[in-house]
Amino acid sequence: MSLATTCGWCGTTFDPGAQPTCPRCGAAAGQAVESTHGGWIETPTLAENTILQMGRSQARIEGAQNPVLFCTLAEGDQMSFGHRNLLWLDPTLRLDSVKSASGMAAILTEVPWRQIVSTGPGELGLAAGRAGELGVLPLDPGSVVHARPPALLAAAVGLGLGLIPGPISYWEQDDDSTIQRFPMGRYLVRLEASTVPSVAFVVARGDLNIRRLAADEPLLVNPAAVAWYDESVRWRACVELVRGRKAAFPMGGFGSFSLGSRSWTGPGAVLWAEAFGPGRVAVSTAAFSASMPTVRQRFQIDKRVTSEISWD
Amino acid sequence: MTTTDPHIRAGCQWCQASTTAGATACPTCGAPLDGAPLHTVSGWRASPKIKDHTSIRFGTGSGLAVEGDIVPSVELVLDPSDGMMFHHHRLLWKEHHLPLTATRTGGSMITLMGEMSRVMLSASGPGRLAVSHGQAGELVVLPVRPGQAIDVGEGSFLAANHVLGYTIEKLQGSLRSKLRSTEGFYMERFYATEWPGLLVLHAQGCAFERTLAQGEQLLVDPGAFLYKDHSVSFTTEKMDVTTGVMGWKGLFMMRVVGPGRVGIESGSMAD
Repeated sequence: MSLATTCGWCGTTFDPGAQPTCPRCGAAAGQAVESTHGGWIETPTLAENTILQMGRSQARIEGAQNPVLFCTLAEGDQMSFGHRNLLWLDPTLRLDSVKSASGMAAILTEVPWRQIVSTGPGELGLAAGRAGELGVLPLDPGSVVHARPPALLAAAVGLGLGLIPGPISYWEQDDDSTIQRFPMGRYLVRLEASTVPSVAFVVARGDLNIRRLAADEPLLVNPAAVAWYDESVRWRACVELVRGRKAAFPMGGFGSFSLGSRSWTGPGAVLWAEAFGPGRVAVSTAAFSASMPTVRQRFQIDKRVTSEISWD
Repeated sequence: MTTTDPHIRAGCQWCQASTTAGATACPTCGAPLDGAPLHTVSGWRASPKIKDHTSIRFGTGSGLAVEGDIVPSVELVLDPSDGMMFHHHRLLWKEHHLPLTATRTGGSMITLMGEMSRVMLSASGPGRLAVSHGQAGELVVLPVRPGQAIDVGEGSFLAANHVLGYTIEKLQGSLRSKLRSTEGFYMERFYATEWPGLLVLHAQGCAFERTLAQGEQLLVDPGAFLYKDHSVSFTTEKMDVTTGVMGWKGLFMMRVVGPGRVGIESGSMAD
């Protein structure tokens, strides 16, 4: 006789005697949800050959550093993905495509112009083509998350997909032009589970860590590293002025690093994405895009007296 | 007396720090204590694979935790009297109340010719923050003892505690080789004077270390160079071998001369 257990990540109740991993998110039965000192939790480690149940269809995950998602779609079940993520497929699968972005959006961002929709029966294999942890994101009816387009590997049936503008931006100005920058991406993918539970598959760059924010709890993160977040999370750009120092740390440190007349004491800036709960924020340990405007860029900006940072 | 219990040993085999019975990882460098160091036939030893969630103590009461396997991040918990320095593009997140300060590290040539930042950021406790590298690889944690100095190749430095001194060293004769390979142009030097410090590097791919005896020489690909003891001298040499069309000879190597340690990484080789 085996006893039912509740998954610590997604709350699904399942029988570990029949399946050693959670059929909805892939976490191993009994795997503890460990948080770091800073309150972050890692996504569950998915064992080789982890099997997920998606209604009548199944997904199987192979590999750790460059994971591959094998999907076995039942008759009429669907899976959508970008064509760059496709490894192989059965000829029995029916393929369609839906427009996911305007031509300009596809040119300006990493959003595929069209999203491929495969309809079962049949099998297919998907991969992100880079080293990164695969995260399974179960979505209950009514829940909505926003994901960075390069992070989205595939979405199962029942998920509504749409594009939304990146939540924060700033203006970079020089003598000739003014450019609006979107440090969290020009567009994000909005994933909405409408009437049935569904699942999305995301692949981080590196490892994926999640922070659960209470209502109005703030968090400063590198905007280039945000992978996905709940729609309930609010964002704003936060410029932190960084003071230069001539003096040493109390125990020596930079004191031994003599800068003399080259010491810089003016302010630089680090642009953070400031999140406010409630909701989850998932951050990749390697950035998805070029870094945000930081001290280095601000230096160049100040030195050439050509640009200034402002934000919405 | 010998013991067969892998958890009881007098010192860490990577950093030689003393460890306590029952510990599974060295509290000073994070090296797992449950296995012998891996040596290649030619004398290289693999840097210890620091496990997920490993904690390391440093300073007066601070700690760092290694999180993740593919691109491991370092979560820092800083004591009020401790600080940590790092480059700004390594920041992942931080607590609101933790202020950042900046020190300029050099002129614009550093960023123009090298891959380093002109600014070194530092954070003083109390508070938490995390840093990570942008490439898949592993962390190399090097305790730095008073009087010791370690030279680090460009792009590999992740974090160091504030008691360490810091300078940027221009590589001798490297301009020519910079133009013909992916070798760095500058090295970052971290040294301890009065207090022991902690240096955290990120190796792309896997990291290996070899200890050279006095006068012992070795040729290292400049793109694979990760770190060396300051006592190890080096020169850049053009090898007498054709590597391109029309008899072009474009293979440059670093000739390193002991005594001291040399570290290399497997994932950042020159073209």
